[in-house]
Amino acid sequence: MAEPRVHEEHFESMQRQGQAATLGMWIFLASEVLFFGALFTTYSSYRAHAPSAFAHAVSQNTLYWGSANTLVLLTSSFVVALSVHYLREGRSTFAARLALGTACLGLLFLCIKGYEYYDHFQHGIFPGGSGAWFAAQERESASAAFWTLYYIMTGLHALHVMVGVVVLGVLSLMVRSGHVSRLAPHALENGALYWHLVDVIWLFLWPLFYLTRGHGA
Amino acid sequence: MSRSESASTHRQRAMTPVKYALAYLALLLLSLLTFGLSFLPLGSAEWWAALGIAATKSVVVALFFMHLIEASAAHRLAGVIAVLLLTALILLAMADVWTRSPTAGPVPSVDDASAVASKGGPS
Repeated sequence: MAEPRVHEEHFESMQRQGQAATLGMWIFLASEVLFFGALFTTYSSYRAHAPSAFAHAVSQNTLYWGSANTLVLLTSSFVVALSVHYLREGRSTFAARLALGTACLGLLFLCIKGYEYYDHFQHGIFPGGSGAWFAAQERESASAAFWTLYYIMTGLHALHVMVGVVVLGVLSLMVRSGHVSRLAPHALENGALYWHLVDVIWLFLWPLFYLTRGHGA
Repeated sequence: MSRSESASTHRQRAMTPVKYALAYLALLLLSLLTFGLSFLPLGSAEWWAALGIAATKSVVVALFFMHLIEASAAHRLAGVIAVLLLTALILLAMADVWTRSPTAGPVPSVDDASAVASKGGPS
């Protein structure tokens, strides 16, 4: 086991160090919110110009796989929240297992997402909107805009999931080895904060790309 | 105060595993609700209902899983400012889309562009 952590010299206490680390994480998360916010704005603008075409494109998406991924990410957020809780309680081994479980759920999300992309490619739905499938659509350019945004936004989100999987996998090892512990839990707390933000972003991607199919519009 | 004293001893802990489980249950129920609503003929209300439920779920995640409910004022401020800036970004951009002057002519719709292209319109 590693030695119990002490705070850095320039901090008054471990509490202050932890607060600074968490504040830094929140500011980073705020920048991530604005990054995805610009993409959501782009989506909203395009959808305002072609609402029916976008609703039709949503209805062509893989609703059940996207919904399964929502369940996976919500569960992973719950598990990583428990991981932080038990680390604070001093149950490091259990906390490490929960962090590893979260990373595994992230991998499951990526597998499902990868299958979705594979399925889209099989149908000829590629980023950029060229090809026979798009030519057969009633509103080709609107359909191309929707699917290109779909690949950009879900692809960037999947990239964040990949980063989260690696971070939580490493944190799981650090918790197990004692480098992250009840005495200095901030690394896992901040890793969990990042993971929750990834979850929150998906909570908006899900209705935009899978649910709002314009029934009765 | 010991140098190695944990931050966890200073912070009030409102969350318990039962509360995490309740938050998770609420998220599942809200997800089920938005999934079910997507099959109903709600017209344009479908869009606002879906986004409203997504926003509600985000608040649940932020408050309970991200611990904003027990966070310091500085941490809450960072979260609130992010939401305010995001709201300004989306509303100001969409204000242009929704209120573009008719005298300037409409922004060419991608729907229209597709229709023109399919009819072999001017290139």
